[in-house]
Amino acid sequence: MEKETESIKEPPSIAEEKPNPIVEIIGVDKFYDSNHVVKNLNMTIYEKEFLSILGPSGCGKTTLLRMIAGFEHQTSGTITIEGENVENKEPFERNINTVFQSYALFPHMNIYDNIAYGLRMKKVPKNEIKSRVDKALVMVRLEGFEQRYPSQLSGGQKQRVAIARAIINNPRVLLLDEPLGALDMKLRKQMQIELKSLQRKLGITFIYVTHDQEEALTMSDRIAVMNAGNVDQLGTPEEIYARPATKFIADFIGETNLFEAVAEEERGGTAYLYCEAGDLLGKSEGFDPNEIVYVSVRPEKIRCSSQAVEGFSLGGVVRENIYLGNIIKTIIMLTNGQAVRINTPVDLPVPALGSIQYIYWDIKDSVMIYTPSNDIIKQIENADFAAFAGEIKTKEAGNV
Amino acid sequence: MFNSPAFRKKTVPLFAMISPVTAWLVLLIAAPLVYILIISFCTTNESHNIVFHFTLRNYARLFDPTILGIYTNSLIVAVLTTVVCILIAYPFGYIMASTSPFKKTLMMIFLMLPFWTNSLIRLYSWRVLLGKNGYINDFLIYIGLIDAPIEMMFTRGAVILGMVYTLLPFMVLPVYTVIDKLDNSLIEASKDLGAGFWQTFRNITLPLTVPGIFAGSIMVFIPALGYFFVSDLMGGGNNQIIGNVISRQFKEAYNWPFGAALSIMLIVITLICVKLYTRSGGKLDELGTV
Repeated sequence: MEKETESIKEPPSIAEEKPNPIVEIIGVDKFYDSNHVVKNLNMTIYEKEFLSILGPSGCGKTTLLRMIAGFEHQTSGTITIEGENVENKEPFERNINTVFQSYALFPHMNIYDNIAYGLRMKKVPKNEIKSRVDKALVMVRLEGFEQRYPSQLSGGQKQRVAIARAIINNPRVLLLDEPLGALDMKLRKQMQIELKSLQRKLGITFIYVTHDQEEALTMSDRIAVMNAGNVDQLGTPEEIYARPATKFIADFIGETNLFEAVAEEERGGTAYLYCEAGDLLGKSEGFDPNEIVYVSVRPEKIRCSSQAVEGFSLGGVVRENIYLGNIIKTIIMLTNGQAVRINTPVDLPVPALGSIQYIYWDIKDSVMIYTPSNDIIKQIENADFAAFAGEIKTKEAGNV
Repeated sequence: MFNSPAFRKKTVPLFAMISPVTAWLVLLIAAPLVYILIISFCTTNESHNIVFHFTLRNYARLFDPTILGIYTNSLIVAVLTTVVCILIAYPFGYIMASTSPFKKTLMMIFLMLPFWTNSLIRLYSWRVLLGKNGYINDFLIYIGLIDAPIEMMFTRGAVILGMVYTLLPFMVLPVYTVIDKLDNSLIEASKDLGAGFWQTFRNITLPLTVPGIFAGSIMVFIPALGYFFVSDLMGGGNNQIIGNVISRQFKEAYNWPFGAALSIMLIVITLICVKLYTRSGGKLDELGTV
């Protein structure tokens, strides 16, 4: 739990000097009727950082983004942008622009008019509009597309127009709502790199909503992992990958093997644990005897041998060796029926199909997650509070 | 060939399925149209029987000044009806598209409810309201705004009122459909880029919903040329439209060939309107949204 609070306070790692907060979200709640979609959320977003809000669909990430943009209003709590409370500010009064999931290009306007729209609304002189649109087109590499219509562009090109249309207004913060969701894999990878370098070039804050953990890991300075209306962890990609704070995050970010184990004792920095399938070792983090602990080990960190290794007794049968180009994925079925996934580089030997293998790992590669008790408490708090708060809200509304 | 399995499996059921529709179309639409087209080139004898003797006289009569006057009046009524329908239907459709599902249903019911009553009865009720001794005149005299009843019935205004009242749903539905289908993120994008409500309406909403206005206009304009019972009831004899002349040729003057020529003319006007509509990018399917 210490880790989590630490990482929330921690400024973005790229900053050379002390970064300034640009968007602050203070105790924000959002209800749709009695549906509690964002729960007492606190977050500080800094200048010039690339922050991803990552979570499964329905976790409240898009709602949060829409509240920052001003399309939705929080039920309670405060959002400040550049130190100013934006409670009563319309979207166009906020120094923020949005890139929509569906691009939302105006189909009846050509590319030039689409990009110039924001400047025209602000009554910028014509010749200045011309030079700024030209510059924006160069920036997204779409020179010569001025006269085309959105329907004549490919998905990637539409995406670039949407970005150009937003950044031409010189926003302090750019909000992106799953902007690459509709693109194919190869184009998406290319656009990820482009977006990242664009953000560096522009030096503005990007708040990027995605459900794709790989995308978030590739581009972000920091990632906020959301689950059921809460930010479960906020930290750098390295922190979140290597030290997930909850079982949910361990499972959600990348592929992992989770072992539900019981702590037996701790000696010399090693935790001795056992699970249904046998004994295992983990990092010592001050567990109480008989405490339930989740041990998360990434597939690339698990090794196997034909002999049980000291401290481990997790034996199983090799069920599958799947060739995946750069790696071979081995699936070992443990005695309790749990399938353990192991990734081995192709140039290394893999265990024979059908052979009995014992798995083990380096203690430093194991991530100990003490979520059970914490999780349960949190769930009870949220569940009851949500229902209770919803009830109060409806009652209040009824009284008024 | 008729015994081949493919014929029995595919062609026979196909014929069985489409033939009732085809028969319906041929018997009830194509045949009468062809008949009208043929008799429009015929003459009548003294006892008003149709004589199959080719002539273009019926078409020449279309350019008679009285007939041209009625055409002009018809066009004025139809154009004004369409304009008034747009002005009422657009805000109605806009509100309907942006309100809660419950209110949406309510508005739809209020729009459609009158249509479950006979349109003649509904038009008669307007006479009760607007007539010389009608409620509106009574009320205006009662509050002292006027001294003597004013003539509201049997004017062009009354005809247009009746037309708008009868045809409004045909405008509301296509307009509502196109506003409802409008991607809300376009509106949000416009606001995000600095446009207020009216700027967004003028630059985004209106241009993107013009097809609905177009479709609705076709659905209102064409019937407004022909709904003779509306001008009969609301305009008395004073405000005739093409529909009145056609109906009189068939029912009173027994000059079917001339009536047929007038009808063909109306069909041509209709086709020109539809052509203009499809030319400007409209889709025929969307005319069928009602």
